[in-house]
Amino acid sequence: MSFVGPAALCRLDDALLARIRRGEGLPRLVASAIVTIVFGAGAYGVAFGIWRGSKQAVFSALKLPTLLLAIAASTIGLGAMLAILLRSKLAVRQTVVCILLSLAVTAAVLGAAAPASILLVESAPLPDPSIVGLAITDPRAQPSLEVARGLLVLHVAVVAFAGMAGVIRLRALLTRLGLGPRVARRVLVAWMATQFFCGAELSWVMRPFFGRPHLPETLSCDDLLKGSFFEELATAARSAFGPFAPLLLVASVLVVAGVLAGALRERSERVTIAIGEGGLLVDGGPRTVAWQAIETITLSGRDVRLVLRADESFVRDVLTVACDDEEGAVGLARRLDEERSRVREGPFRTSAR
Amino acid sequence: MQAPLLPSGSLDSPSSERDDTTVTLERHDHDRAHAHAHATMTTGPRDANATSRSTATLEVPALGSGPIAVVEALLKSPASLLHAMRDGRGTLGRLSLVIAASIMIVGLVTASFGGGVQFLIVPLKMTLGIFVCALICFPSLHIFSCLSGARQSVRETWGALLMGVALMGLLLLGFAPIAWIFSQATTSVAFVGGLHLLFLALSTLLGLGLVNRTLGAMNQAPVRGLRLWGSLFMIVLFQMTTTLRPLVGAATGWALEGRLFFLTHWLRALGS
Repeated sequence: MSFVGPAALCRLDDALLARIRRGEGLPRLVASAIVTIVFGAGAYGVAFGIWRGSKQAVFSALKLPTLLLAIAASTIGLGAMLAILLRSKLAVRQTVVCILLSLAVTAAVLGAAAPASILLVESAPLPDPSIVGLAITDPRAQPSLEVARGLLVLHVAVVAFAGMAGVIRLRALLTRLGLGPRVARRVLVAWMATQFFCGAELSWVMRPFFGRPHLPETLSCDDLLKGSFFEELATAARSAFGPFAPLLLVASVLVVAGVLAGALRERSERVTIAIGEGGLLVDGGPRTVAWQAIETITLSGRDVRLVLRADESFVRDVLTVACDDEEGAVGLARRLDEERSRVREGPFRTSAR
Repeated sequence: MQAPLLPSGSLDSPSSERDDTTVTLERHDHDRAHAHAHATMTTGPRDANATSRSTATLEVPALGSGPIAVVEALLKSPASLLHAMRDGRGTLGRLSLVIAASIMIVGLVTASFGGGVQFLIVPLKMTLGIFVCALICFPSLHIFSCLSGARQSVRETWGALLMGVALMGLLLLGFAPIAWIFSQATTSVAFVGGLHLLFLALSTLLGLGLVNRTLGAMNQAPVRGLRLWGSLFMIVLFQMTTTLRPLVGAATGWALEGRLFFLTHWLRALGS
């Protein structure tokens, strides 16, 4: 199996997908993703640090790929477990490939944007070398700091765009690997949440990427291990909101937890079903629910609820069929029950599934 | 495609009883309908005698040998574990091994914040603590499930509990790299302690879900009242983290600290 270039990774070629589905040549695929991350993110690292100086550009070129690989390394185990628990049916190796591919797409986009970013950065006024060592509040440092803030907004926008591209491609990858839309969404949310949580801290630990104009170029800052991203967030909230900060933080945490719980919870989804010979065709197939798999049929107004037999992970699916009116629901339920009973009673019918 | 007129059937009503009401039906196009599909863990009615239940059996992959097979089965196919447990092939011992190994490693990560002798004390404390916690909550689990009509044996209840705790341990192991990164980057005991508690709570919730589903599978119907037991388990677990303190931070020796309720401990930690 050959090396896969960044273009093929971004396109998610059919051959690539078939390879992941079959689980063939995955180590090469992993290597391809890592190479893309190293060069793509490395290129943007140069764009990140070049304004501050050449040394900072080298440091950032090393640190940005390291950041992405560290995020992958620290979340892959949990990601694989969550994917299985969320019923994705992905093997651990496939999970590793999926996570690395999404980061590789992000890195490829970053690498592609690097030349344009470098051009824009190089067009900006250079930092004043005489302000190194001055306080951040010193008036002489303000012009360079203003330029730095503007460039930082540019970099944040590019990184956000690249991150979104990675997430969108990951969703497409999961869907094309055969995960249902609901499962794909839940897996995606779980992975993004863990990667954001871990990535925020790792990027905090590996700072600075951009480099402040009034400070010397450096690989890492002095207060590297004296706090965390979220503690800094709490400190910033305290200084901004005073006594209301704890309340605000608790409310924010609750909102985030609620949003996550809502996103991870399986919601009802409009699908169509058709009655086939061997069972129910959900959304016109390919999913077929065999008659024997229907454990109970219940009526609730215009809805017909079908509780399916628990699978090997002990999870029961519930299909709620919304009919036009109550009579329709009764008719559908009776029809389903009749079909199910017929299969139970006649052994020759069970072979039809 | 149109459905034929149908006689009264043997439907399960929402109240888990057969609905034998005869309804005059007109022709409707029922074969294609809009549907809402969603999954739930425990939704079936408790009435095991409902005649409209399907009687097909579930084909379960056989459990392989070694602890890795147990790990895989816990995540992918708990039914294999249940099957092996009923066959009595040392499954409970293997589950205990998985719990001990995963909690030991998680203990090492937790100890990395305090360092020194904590690398020895914390893994042992945590491993013993989790088993003690399971033992404390085991009688209530069995009695609570029996109160709602469950018929599994004592051994099977212990097996279901071990499966849940083992899944909890595995998830904590998954969270361990993230916990390690945070614990190396900060000096705040309250922050790191809170983070470990967050991961513990998330893992426990998923583990309790597995206990619930396993007992439901053993009884062919959901077992009610387990949320109450789950709350009890969480309280015992959180109290255990306080009783065995300090798990995060500098060591104070092998002896247990004085009596303290876990909420008081958390408030004091936040205050400091």
